[in-house]
Amino acid sequence: MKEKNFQRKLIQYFEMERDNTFEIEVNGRKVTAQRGQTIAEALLANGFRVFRRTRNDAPRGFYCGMGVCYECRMIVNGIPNVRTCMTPATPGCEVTTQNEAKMKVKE
Amino acid sequence: MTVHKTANVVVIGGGVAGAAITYFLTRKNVEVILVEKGAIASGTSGRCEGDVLICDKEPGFDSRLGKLSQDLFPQIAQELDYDIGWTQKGSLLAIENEEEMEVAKTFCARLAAEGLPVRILDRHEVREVEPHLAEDIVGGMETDGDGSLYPMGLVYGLVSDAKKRGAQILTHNAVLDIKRDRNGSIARVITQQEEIITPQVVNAAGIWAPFIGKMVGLDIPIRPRQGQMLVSERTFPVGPRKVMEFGYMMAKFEGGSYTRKVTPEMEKFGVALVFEPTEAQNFLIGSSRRFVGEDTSCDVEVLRAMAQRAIRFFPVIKDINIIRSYAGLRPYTPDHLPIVSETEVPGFYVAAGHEGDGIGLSLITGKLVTQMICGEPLEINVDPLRLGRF
Amino acid sequence: MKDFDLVIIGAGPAGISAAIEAADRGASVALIDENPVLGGKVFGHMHYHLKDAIPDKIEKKIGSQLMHRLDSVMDSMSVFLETEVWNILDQWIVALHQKGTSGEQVRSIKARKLIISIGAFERIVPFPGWTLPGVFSVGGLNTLAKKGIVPGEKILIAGNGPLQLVLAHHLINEGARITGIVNAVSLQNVAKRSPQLFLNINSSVLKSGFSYLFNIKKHRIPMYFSHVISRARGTNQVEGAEIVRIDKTSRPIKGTEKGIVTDCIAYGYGLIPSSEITRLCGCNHIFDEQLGYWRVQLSERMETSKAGIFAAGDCRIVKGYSAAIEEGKIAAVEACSQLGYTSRKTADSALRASLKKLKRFKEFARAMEILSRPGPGLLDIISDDTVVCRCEEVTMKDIRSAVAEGAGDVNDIKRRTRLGMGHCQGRFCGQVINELIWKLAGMPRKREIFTPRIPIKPVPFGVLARQ
Repeated sequence: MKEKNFQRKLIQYFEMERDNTFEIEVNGRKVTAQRGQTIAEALLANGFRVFRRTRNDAPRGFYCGMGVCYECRMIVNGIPNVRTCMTPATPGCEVTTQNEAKMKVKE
Repeated sequence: MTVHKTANVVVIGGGVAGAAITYFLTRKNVEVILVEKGAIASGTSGRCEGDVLICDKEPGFDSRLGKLSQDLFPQIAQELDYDIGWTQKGSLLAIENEEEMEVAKTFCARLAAEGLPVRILDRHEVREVEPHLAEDIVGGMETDGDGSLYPMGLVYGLVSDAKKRGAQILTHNAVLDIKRDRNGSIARVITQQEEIITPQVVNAAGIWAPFIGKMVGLDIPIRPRQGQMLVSERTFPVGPRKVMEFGYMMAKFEGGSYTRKVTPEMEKFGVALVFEPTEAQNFLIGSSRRFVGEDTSCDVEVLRAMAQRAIRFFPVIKDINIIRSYAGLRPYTPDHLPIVSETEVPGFYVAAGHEGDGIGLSLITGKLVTQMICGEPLEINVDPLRLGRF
Repeated sequence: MKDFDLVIIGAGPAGISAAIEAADRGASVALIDENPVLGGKVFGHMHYHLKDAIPDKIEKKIGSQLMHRLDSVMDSMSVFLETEVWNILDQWIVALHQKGTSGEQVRSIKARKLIISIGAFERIVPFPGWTLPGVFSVGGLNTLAKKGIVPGEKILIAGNGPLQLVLAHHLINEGARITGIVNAVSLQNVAKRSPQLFLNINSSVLKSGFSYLFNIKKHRIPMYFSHVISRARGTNQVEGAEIVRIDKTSRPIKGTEKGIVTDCIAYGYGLIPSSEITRLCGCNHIFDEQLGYWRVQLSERMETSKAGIFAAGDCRIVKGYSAAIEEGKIAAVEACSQLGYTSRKTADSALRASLKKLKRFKEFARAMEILSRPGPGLLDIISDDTVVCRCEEVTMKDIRSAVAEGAGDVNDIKRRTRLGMGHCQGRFCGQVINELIWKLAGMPRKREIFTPRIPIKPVPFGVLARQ
């Protein structure tokens, strides 16, 4: 009886885990995010820190965490300048490092 | 304690006109003192965009003057120690409909007859050079040679160069009065901090030129005409160069016989598309016109109309962020041409009233005033620019 | 355009408290917040149910109580989440940017009364390497820690302010390793302010404070007083740091530099009120010399100099969530009295009760804030290669050149260097640029307050265009 309960609890736990996490894509790599996390949080939880590169190629990442500094901006689903600290991570979203030195007119 | 100084010429106004005049005079070894009531480039020249265009000039004197000035930029850009971000990518006047296209073809031919490098692009060609233009734009008029720069940089660069060659630059120092001698010729300029003995004064005070003019009994018909600007965030390139709308040009020059299909607000505020990408990898969106005295605050209704007009031509702008807005005051004259002129007051010159062409015409203005003062033959007959025409 | 009796901008403790009071009294309320959940920085993460995230039992209790009360009146108010306010027009039309809505958007709403409760943001002084990934604001790292994320293995907490202790507490709770706490305050100054602190401390703050300190001591985390961070090292992210001792004027003492092992730095000098909305509305502000920031002038009923506009919580003076909750209440009660939903008598007695509670917070908070204020000598930490304007990458060297060319005010520096022209709209570099100009140009002090321009937060062209 006890074992059945334990098994049921284990299944419940795994189901919860399954419902609680999903995959997003970061620079082509699949990364696990948790429900309720912003894109920035999912990135940081997975060890990503360099979110963008300035037009002088300086590395920048998460800073204020409240949407005012815009340092955390990345290309999300093809759209540039998305504040990842204010944007919830969604299943399958594609996130790319925003490289501003490369965002120039092709001569 | 009044400080006494002397100079060959006192230039009043530390904006782009005053800076260019000081630059050219100094190169002719004229002793110049430039007097500015605030900081250099703190007036209209600090609230504008960096246009050096001929595409929006009326064929004839207007376009000739514009071309003369434009041709001076590449060399000056190189010579200045300052990086002014000068690029010469040409410009495009977007043509909205077939009616405009007909007029554009004629207009283009007139400019080409003046020897200017212009051509008409059709629906397909225009999209090749401006991929983000709205689908229904029927074509454009392309003008080679049109350029763009960082306007404040130009002013700082010209002033810095002049300073190195011996010009005295006095800032935070307003002109209080101008004294003349018994013959009515210029004798002294009284500023907040000194008295400058000089036989010549150039009134390059932009929207404040009338105020300076009154000091010598002259009526200068310049009024401030406000224009608002929207500044975008740094983003992917929306377009490689300056784009404006042909329809507005038509409305301006055809004397009211053409009306664009725009909202009442766009009409009321004189809103016309101006798209200017910058070296900072963002773009500026203009433009508007209204007379509100010296008010440099932005009205959201005007900004709204400008944003709508911009999206009409570049739909992709809809999702790009605006970082800030600002307004500048164009020194407007009744016939849209500047005043670059000697006056009935011996020794007193006026170089003001460039409306929206201050940056672009600055270099030719500097050169012409210098030629006037040094008694050299003028680059172009400036009769159309004389103060006495009003 | 929909009309509301009361529009509350910012749904943190102050805003929520105000909303509850007003809704209870029958006013029509619109509550706006830019986040996807209510609660602000203090209570927002409670929605995510990500484990038992708040280790502070008192905070958890107060937060839960507040949220429960809100739940009971939620249905009677309009809540705008993921919504930013980018402009306010006369009497009062609040322009909205609804980020989370893909369909029909609400462009603006009309308010008879306004309560501004938008909170505060990080106070900073630039230092070499502060823009490296891995240098976080204290508030930012705190937000992460409260959601169970620890983005480093050797965390260094630097700067000043009580938030450092709160952060340390949350990090320890997550099992994080803190390599040190570097605090600019000197023990002498703490001793000096002790009477003001202890006479006015209330029991919950005392309990919290002691538990934070106890936890730090228990985990043997080194604390360096009278020290500041002088450099963050690394190529693409933080790989180490250097700290230095400071003297009485906060100047770094040469020769006392010490290397610190770290891969993650939380840095800040407390918080400063976000005053962009009150400034936009033209409310009077005063520069508080003790606290070192501009704050909106309020009556004791939380009303600004513009009748009908109120401010409450950290956006007026940083005092923490308990004070914010009381202030939100005062503002809402006064607004309701002006609207006719409550009698002047009831309003006055409610005010008296709240003011009594607030009195202690006031003094304690002021003492804390004074201790957190970065000293003028800290500007000496800024080297020529230090980025001062993060957005436009303007270095100290660029500013020095501009001043040498004659620039004497912020606008001049802005024109010459592009400082302040980026996304943050001068929120960070604006904190130090005046002092830097004075220091470099040797000019007399003249404090200016800036009226923010439209939009007060970056907003898409399409939102302005209403398309």
